[in-house]
Order: sequence, then structure tokens, then C-alpha cells
Amino acid sequence: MITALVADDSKVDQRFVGRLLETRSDMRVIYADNGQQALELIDHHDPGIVLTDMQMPVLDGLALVEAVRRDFPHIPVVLITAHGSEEAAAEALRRGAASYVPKRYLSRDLAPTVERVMAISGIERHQQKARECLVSTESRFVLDNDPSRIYPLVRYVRQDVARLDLCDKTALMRVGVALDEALRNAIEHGNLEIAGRPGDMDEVAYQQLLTRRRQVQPYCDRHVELIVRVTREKAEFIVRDEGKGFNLASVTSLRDPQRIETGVGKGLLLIHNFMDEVRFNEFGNQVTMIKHHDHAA
Amino acid sequence: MAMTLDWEQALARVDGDEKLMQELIGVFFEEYGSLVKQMQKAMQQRDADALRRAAHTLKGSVAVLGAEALTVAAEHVEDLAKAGRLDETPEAFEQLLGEVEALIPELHKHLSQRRPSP
Repeated sequence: MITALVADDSKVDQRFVGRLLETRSDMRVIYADNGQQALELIDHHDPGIVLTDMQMPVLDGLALVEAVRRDFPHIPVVLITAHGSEEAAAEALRRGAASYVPKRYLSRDLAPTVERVMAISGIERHQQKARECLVSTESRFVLDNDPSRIYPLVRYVRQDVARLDLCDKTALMRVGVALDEALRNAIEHGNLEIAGRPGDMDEVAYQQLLTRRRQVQPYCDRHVELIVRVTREKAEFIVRDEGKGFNLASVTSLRDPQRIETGVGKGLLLIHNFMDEVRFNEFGNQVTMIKHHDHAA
Repeated sequence: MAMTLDWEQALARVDGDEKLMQELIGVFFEEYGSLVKQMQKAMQQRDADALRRAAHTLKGSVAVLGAEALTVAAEHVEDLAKAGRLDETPEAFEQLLGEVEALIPELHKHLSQRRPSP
């Protein structure tokens, strides 16, 4: 059973998050009241994932993210964000956090977010060997709008990137998260033309909406293309859908930390934070993401 | 005017899981006394940072329970402490204690509604 560590100064919040993880993600949960205690527990228990509040005494969420990235780079950290902690959360995403869940949507979003982050980070634990004679790889994938293809595809691509020693484990996990979000965007918002998920729509209703769209024309005829080129200097990912594109002006405020609490545009926000360069074509149906070698960035 | 307890909203946030809410109330009963004491001590020692932290922790706990009025009161103390306006905190703290007193019986009502476990 995977162990999750929950760091929060509020015992009520701790228990809330802990119970959700136990009942919905089948995890064993250990608790820390602050970042310092969290680091001591991580050292002893080697948890599979860390969930942290931003504002804590002694050592806060941002400092915890930095320490985990430095000392335990294989462990993903998910932020729990509240009104008032948006700036710190945006900074923590830049410095190594894997994802975030707004406090007000914990019940709805925690389990799927944890599942996704764990699926993406798991592959790295056993992948250490570098293939020294490999110089570059180029792959082209075409997929339909079935979201179950995303995990295996992202895993496959991450192995490409890992083989070329492009970045450390944390950055690699974040590349995976960004790619996952880009493919999901291409399917849901691009090909299936679902503008956004209303805040009050639950996961089941949303999945039903996606399933219905996938089965009817013109949506069912559309595909997503992914091109991946990796060298020892950089990785380039091009994701193209066959939808109608979107208005680029509507995503100009993507780096605005205030967006974090709303949950709107989460995918694009993560992509912008986790990749070094992000470009859209003029129609808004193609995104090019570039990750440079750690030392070149 | 904020409600003492918006139970419906709090329940909605945990997908109607009453058992979980009752457990969280139990955790709050264990936790709040110590937080109130920390705040009193911080005010006596004029330690704005300790006061801000304790008020912030209390705010996080009671927000989950749907205790709107106490959330607002704790946030007010947190804001005053953050701004270093310690002379205004005793009055805000009295207000906070009043909200705690109003909240406890409301929470007890939901605990006593607990169905016997099978």
C-alpha cells in the first residue's frame, strides 16, 4: 500500500485530506503539522506522495517543495491551495510541485489528481540507466479521443526523454504532467469542443458528457497528433488537434496566480509552468512545448 | 451577517459524508482549546507572528466545518496581527470567543444526531 504524507497546520484539514486519501485512493496516511516535521517523516517513511498546505509554521509549503525537490526528487508534491495562497502556490509550481488542488474542490478533485500524478511519477522510480550512445529520437503518434490512451502514451514519451538524460526526475515528472494536460486539452477542448467544465459539474457527469461527444460526428472523426523530438539538449513536443481552435487572447493571463484558486485553465497553467517554451499556432489548435536540458535552461 | 454554522454547505463539500463531518467535529473539539490558548498567550506576549499563525490555523479548521462567522472572526484577528495592529486584537479576540461559544452547541447538535453504528 502506498503511503501519503499530509502536511497541514490544521488538524481538521489534515484529517479531511487524510480520510479522502484512505477511502478514495486506498493509501496509508501519515501526518505532519509543518514542513520541518514533514521532512523528518519523509526521511523515515519514504512516502509515495506528499500533499501540503501552503501556509504553515516553522517551514511553509514553498520551502517544503524546495527541500523535497532537493533531497527526495522522486517524491511528487501536490499543493492544497486556499484563497490567499495563490502567489505562493504559483511560485511552488515553478519550483517543483507536481500539481495542486483548490481546497474548496478537495472532495471532487483530490483523488483524480493524486491518481494522475502517481501514474505519471511511478515510472521514474526504476529508470536509472542512461543510454550513452543514443543521440536523438523522433516519434509521431496519432490517437483518437479515448483518454485512456493518454497514460500509456505519456509513459512511453517520458522514457524517451529519460533515456537522453535531459532533466532530473522532478522536471521529468513535470514534463509528463504538462504533456498529459496538453493531450487532455486537445481531446476535450479541441476535438470534442467542450469549452470548460462548470464548477458545479461532478466528475461522473463530465465523463458522461465526454463519452457522448466521442461517439457522434463530427467529433468522432477527429484525431490528435503528437510529435516528439528529443536530443540531449532539448525535447520538443507538438500536440495538434482537429477542432476549431480557440481564441489565443483568452489565455493571455495564464501566468496570473489568481487563476489557481478558480481551477479554470489549470491545464494550460501547468503547461506554462512546467515547460520552458510554449507556443500556439495562429488557429489555436496546435501547441509546441519545449523543455531544455537542465543546464541549458 | 455570516451564519454561525452552514451545515448544508459543509456537508456538500464532503459529498454528504456525515460520518466524516462528525469525525472532523471531534478533531476540532480536541484542537480548538489549544489554539485559543496559543492566541491568548501570543496577545499577552505581544507576539504578532504567533497570534497570526494560531488564528490562521483556527481559520483553516473551522472553514471546513462550515463555521462561517468564526472563520470571519479568525481571519479578522489574523489580518490585525499581520498588520501589527496588536492594540485592536483584544476586541477582535473577544468577538472570536463569542463565535466559538455560539458554535460549540451547534456542532454538538450534529454530533448527537449520529446514528448508532451497526
